[in-house]
Amino acid sequence: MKQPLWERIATHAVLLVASAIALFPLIWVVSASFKNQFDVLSTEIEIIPSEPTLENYEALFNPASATGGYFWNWFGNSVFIAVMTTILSVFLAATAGYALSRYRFRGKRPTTSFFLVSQMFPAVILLVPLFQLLGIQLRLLNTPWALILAYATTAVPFCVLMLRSYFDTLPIELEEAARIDGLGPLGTFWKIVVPLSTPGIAVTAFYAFITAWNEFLFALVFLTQPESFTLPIGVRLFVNQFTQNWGGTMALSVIVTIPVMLFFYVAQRYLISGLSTGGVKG
Amino acid sequence: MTRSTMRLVLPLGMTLALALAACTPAASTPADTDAPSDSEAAAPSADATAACEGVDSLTFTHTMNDQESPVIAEIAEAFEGTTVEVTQIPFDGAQQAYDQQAAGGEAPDVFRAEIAWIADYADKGYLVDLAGMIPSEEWDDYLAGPLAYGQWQGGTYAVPQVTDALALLYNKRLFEEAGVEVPATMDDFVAAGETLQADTDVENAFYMRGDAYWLQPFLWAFGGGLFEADAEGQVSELLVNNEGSVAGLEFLLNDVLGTIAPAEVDFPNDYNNAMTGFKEGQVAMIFNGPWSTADVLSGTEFSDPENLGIAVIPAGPDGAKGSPIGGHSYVAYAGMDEAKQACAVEFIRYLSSAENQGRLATELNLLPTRQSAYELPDVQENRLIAEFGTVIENATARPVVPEGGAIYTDFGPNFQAAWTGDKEPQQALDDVAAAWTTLLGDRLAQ
Amino acid sequence: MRDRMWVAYAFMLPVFVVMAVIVLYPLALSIWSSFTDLSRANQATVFRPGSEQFIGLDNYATILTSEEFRGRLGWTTIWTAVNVFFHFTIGMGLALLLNQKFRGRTAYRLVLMLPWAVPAFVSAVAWRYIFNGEYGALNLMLASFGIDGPNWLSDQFWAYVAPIVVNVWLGVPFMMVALLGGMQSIPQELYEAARVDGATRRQTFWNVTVPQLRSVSVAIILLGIIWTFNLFVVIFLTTGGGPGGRTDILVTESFNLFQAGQLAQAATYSVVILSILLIFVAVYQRAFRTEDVAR
Repeated sequence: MKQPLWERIATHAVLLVASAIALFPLIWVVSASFKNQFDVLSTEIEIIPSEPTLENYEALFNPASATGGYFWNWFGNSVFIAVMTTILSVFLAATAGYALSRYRFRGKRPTTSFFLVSQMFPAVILLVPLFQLLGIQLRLLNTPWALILAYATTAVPFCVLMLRSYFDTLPIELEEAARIDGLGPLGTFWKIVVPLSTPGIAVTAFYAFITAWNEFLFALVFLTQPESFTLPIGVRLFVNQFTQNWGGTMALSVIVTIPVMLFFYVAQRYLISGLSTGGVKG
Repeated sequence: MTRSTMRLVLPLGMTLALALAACTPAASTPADTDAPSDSEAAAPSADATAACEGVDSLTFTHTMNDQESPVIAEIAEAFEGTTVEVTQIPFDGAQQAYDQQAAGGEAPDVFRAEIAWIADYADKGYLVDLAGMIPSEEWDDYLAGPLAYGQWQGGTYAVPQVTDALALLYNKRLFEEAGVEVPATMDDFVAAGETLQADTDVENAFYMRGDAYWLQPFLWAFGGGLFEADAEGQVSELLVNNEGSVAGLEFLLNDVLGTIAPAEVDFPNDYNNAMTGFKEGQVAMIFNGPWSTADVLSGTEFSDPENLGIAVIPAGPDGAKGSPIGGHSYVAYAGMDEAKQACAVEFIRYLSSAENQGRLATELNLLPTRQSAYELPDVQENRLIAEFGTVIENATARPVVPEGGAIYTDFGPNFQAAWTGDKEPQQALDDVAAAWTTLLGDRLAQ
Repeated sequence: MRDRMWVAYAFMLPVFVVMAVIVLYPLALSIWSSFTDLSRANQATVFRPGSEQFIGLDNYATILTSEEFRGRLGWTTIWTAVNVFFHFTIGMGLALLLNQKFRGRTAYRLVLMLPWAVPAFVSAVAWRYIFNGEYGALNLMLASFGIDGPNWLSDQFWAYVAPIVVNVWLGVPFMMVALLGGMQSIPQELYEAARVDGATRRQTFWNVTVPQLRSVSVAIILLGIIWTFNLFVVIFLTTGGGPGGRTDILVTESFNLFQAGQLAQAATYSVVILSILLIFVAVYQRAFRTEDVAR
């Protein structure tokens, strides 16, 4: 069914405007990252800087620069924390998600409700006691483990719910066949269910990783020494009350966003289907 | 270092220190500048190596800005006693960050604290009492004002690093172009601004920040203030919502904003916008302190440093002046190993030596806190330091209470509310007073 | 398989243990502290034991009866509602357009998904740069048309709009993609049947598409509401809650209390926030009968 011309034009017009809105801030960020400190705050609009410079990018890696060149520390911290949070959460959540999917047991409904409720926690509600517990009592301030444990508080329930939804879509016949063959519950899980669940596990891991990578509030409070910062807090170091190093901020933002974007595009096909079979349709 | 060598060095060091005390009178004349600074640099290093024996390293954290940071790092890392790990943290949130770390036993050994935080930290037991650990002759070298900020209930918990006050920074070229003189009173200030806007191409003669610290000069100029407190930290009276304070706020809102300054500014970005405008000649006057000069001098208008003018903030109708005295001092963490304390103190003495204070002065235009530093020839030749010195002489010390930093939590938002017209000035300041009453609790004498 | 309860418990054990230690215990502590006057001035430190006192419901009384709280709750509700409304309607609109076959649709989809791939704090900081009242790109562009742009981040009215713009920019792709996924799984026969019945496009939309998207929509709107209600980063990094605290939502205010050292009050605020969300979700689930989510 061919659409009338005016409709196609209208469709393209709307989509073009939307695309421009989606792209503009990103283009502006990239542009600013190549501007020197005079041009970055000026009254002229220049999308392509008249005097492009790499000094903002260099400063990120140069320990002698005013901002300490901590980029690799921040990147490394973010990667380590996000990876460990993901592994920990997915491991813990896998068996639990399976149990919720396949078994009926006393206390199942309150447990599920609790997992759901934990997604509603405002970050601050656990901030004070976790700070006391992890920061002061266990002395984990400025270490990645404080954050990994803090992130697990929301990542684990989230992964449980997502994996449960995914397992729900797996036909139960294979597991029943395995049972008849004499495989115990754990064996069934590891040998049959897990290999079949790679897409679901991948999507769950992806969401857990991205959430940990982007987290801001706990990192802000638990990390006070610049070399232990994660990337989000590193970005904030550049833009605070007395020093607004916009060029540096934008350069760092570009570098932070590129891997996330690549990761996203590779995974985006699975994301859409993951959303429909995952937590969304419930 | 062997014990026998130590037995030689210690008495030597002490003799030198005594000799110093004899040589350095309270108010030195220029002729004395050479001898004290040389031997002053020598004595601490000998003590330092001794005191730091067995100490692997010290951690030192500061909140200096990006222009200042390389200098302090160089100074700190050159310490001969032991290795120093230097860390810069953003000023925003640093007070809470140190508080939480100290509460948890993990604070850095030496920290550069803003003076308003010291009484709070001392009250909570986080800091080492340095009074007995530094010779009294050395304490005497420090200016009384900054020193007082580090004293709380009989102990001395901080060694002053720099002192500062808000000054009126102005662009001399624009003043000449408009034929305007440096304003001495608030009315002159407004008049000068209007002339500047008429006769030059500045967009705004003045650029104000939406930050309560910047509001203080207006409160004091019109006879208001923050609060009165005595030496023991008992607060006798709240001044922030009295007639003078309200008059000051109203003057700002009615006569300054919208006339010679923008009626509205972008609060999250106001510091940077003010500085950018000033640096590029779109703004003729701002209030700011010595910490900003390194940044200002990088601007196109100030490639010739002589173009930067520094003046005392104008006085109010009754001649009252005021600009908040600020500053930063070094503190030592009470939770560090006792064995390290002597070393940490030596490190602080080194950082704060006249020579090093002189470096901060000549390279960054930060005001020293020791008389002997002011006598260094390089410092004496620094015009900006001399002019900021005059500003500080006319500035107002804030009362020392542990809540000194916390008062800004309610002060800031209420100021912004008054600015945007959300609250009437009297109401806004009344709300501040109410919040401070709760905050100060028992400290406020009813 | 279904009656081997001990197996289920065994599978759940690791999660139970971890949750008990890092969630239940701190949650209990947090709720407990909301009944005290805990602050940074009286908390336990390595130097001295804590001296906080039990004060019962005082914190709740002070906070819930204050005018400030009501105002903040009002703004938080408006913030959430406006954001989710735009997320959903714009997302739906774009999904409808992208659901048709035409050349370049994949390219559009990839571009429109971009904001989703950008971390929220990067977006907040970038928009803060764009919204700068003096030098931001937005006001510079308006100036070239002769319009004097407002101070987006501290104007009495526009300071409300700015973070909404940022969050809508951030949040539309998620809903667009979810709805698109939902649309693409609508069986073609339904559309065929509608066409055969002579339905107009509008009728098809309301009678075929919308009902089929119901479960997806209900779920993502609920998620959107919860996430937006609790969203800290955008407000914190754009307006900072200003001017004068006007744009603070409940979570940022609770963080402000934490920064000010008022630990018990911060905990009280967060318990209140959680309670509000719990009540809301309970009502929502009953209204839309989504008990299958908590199966």
